[in-house]
Amino acid sequence: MYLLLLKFKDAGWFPNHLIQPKDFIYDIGGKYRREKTKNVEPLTSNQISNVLHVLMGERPVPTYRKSIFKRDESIYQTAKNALVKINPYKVGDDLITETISSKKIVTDSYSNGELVTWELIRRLLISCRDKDLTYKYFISEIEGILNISNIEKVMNAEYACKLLRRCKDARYKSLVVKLKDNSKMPLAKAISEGGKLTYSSNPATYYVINRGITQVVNLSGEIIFRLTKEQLERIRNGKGSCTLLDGGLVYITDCVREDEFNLEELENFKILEV
Amino acid sequence: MKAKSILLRIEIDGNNVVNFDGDEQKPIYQKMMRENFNYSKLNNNIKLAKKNIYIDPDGKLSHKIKISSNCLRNAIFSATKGNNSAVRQDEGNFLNNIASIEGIVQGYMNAGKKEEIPFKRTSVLCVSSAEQDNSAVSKLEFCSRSGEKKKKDIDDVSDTSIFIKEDIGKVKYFSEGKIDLFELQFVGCDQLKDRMSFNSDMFHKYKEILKTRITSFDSELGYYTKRGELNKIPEYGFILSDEDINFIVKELLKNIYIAEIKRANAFAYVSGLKIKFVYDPLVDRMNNEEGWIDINKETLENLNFEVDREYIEQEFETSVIMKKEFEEVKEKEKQERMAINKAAQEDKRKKREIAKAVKKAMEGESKQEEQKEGEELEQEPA
Repeated sequence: MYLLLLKFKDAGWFPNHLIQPKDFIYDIGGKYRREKTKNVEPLTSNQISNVLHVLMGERPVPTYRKSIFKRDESIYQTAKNALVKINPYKVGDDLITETISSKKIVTDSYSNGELVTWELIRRLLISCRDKDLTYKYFISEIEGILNISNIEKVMNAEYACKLLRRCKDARYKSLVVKLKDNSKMPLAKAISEGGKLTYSSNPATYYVINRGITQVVNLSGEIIFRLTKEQLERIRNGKGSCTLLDGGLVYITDCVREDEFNLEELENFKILEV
Repeated sequence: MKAKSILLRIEIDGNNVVNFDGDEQKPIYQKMMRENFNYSKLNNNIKLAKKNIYIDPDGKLSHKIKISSNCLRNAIFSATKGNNSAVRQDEGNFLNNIASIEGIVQGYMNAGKKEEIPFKRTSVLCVSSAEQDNSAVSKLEFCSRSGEKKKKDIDDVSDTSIFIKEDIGKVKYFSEGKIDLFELQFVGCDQLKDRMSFNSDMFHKYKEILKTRITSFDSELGYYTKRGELNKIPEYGFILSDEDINFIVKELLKNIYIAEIKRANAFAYVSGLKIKFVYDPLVDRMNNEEGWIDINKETLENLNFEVDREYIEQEFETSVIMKKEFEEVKEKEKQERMAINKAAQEDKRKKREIAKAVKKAMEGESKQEEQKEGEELEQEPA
């Protein structure tokens, strides 16, 4: 038997991510609610098994989602008996965390909205179902409603919308209805109820970079696998390094015969839970 | 010999702190200050550098300043800094983003609307955070900032805030990383293995755009399986040639070599880069001092290597048969999930009915009791 010694650094673990009632899993079984099976421990034998799968040229198998791939049971059994040492990541009960920024998809994040400007309105009205509803038409209408000529040069769009909100005549109301009929709800709201142009599905108006901050715990440590000669040959055909958790680097430090290494001298190594 | 991956050693020189952390570090840092320097309580208004914190067997804390891996990656891939996930909304813009060296190497995750399939690609470059490698000691400096204060006390009229900032002089950092040539050589556009990089119908446009950036690119879509993999179901995608991979790796190493991080009063730049080709993972290891190549302008120009081919092309007919098997498994899993959902809904319905029946029975009982009381009251003598 041989011992394969590995080291891992900067394996990101997000301890504060709670499973919300609205969370779904999408896998080959379809779409369904996520069960509350959050690991309290940052590393289990599932993650270590995936490390060994990748080092041996196999694909990693998701822990919570169903997949067409099944894990290699011989690799999983080897990984279950691996010795793992995680360097201290707590001071008392407090986790040693790092603040990082994270991105969210636009359709699933709150958007503060954009300030209304003439250029933004022009972009928003580029494509309308009603071909007559163009930017020129919009400007001529509001100039007529407010009785102001050259409105783009006289005032900014934000102030013009504020003035429009005080109007009550029929021409103004028909403009609002026309905008709503052409799916320009954000603009219709801006000139009737107030507020900024929030995110719409019109690619001409989005440009909010949706970022938030979150806490991550960076784990580092060592892993020892007991391998047969055949398993070692599979490792030799692999790439020698892989990732663990979020962006953690795992690489081989040594490979020795079991009788040349005194496992009893090792401190703080343990077999992980399933 | 054919390379499987490339190991990296990156040395960085800098001055002052380029990467700051949030408030959550404060209690631990305060404990460290008290233990090591008998420091008094820290101000609430404090900016601390990102650091690796170590606990020795006696429980004593120590730290080393670091530059996080995210910060390093932002410096390496500075061309794609402004990208946001909204780029998916416009197809042309999206293809322009992903059909590039940065798109292939850095990876991306672009989810569209809720029911749409996300397009994703795993990053081929993995870089650990750059940890302080010299004996420089950080210190806390008093700084002032002028500007309107958000919270104003009655006694505090001034618009100048005092805050504490962690500072360090000349500092050296060290980072390790790897470039995965096995993953670099294949770009998948198949939902089968949950790594659809883009819509395969747009491949002709993707190819046109990528060819302007990698002139040797001339691949076509096909079915591929991983050599030695147990699950032999083929995946639709394309393979990059050795020439393409050499070009991409050279560009990436150049980006790493010229990466720099600039702040208003701090900077850090890459001062040394070494690589090692991994031919035999058990011999070509990160902590083995042999085989490292110093990267400079000359060595980068002359860099040439063969890539160990991990992906093997499959015949279309075999792929179709195997895909059918996948569809059958998928259908089976879906049916199982639908049965579970149905059973759960049935269970809920039964519970609701039981609860209704119990409520009705209790209401009936209370009505009977009220009636009895009413009758008793009527029967009582005046």
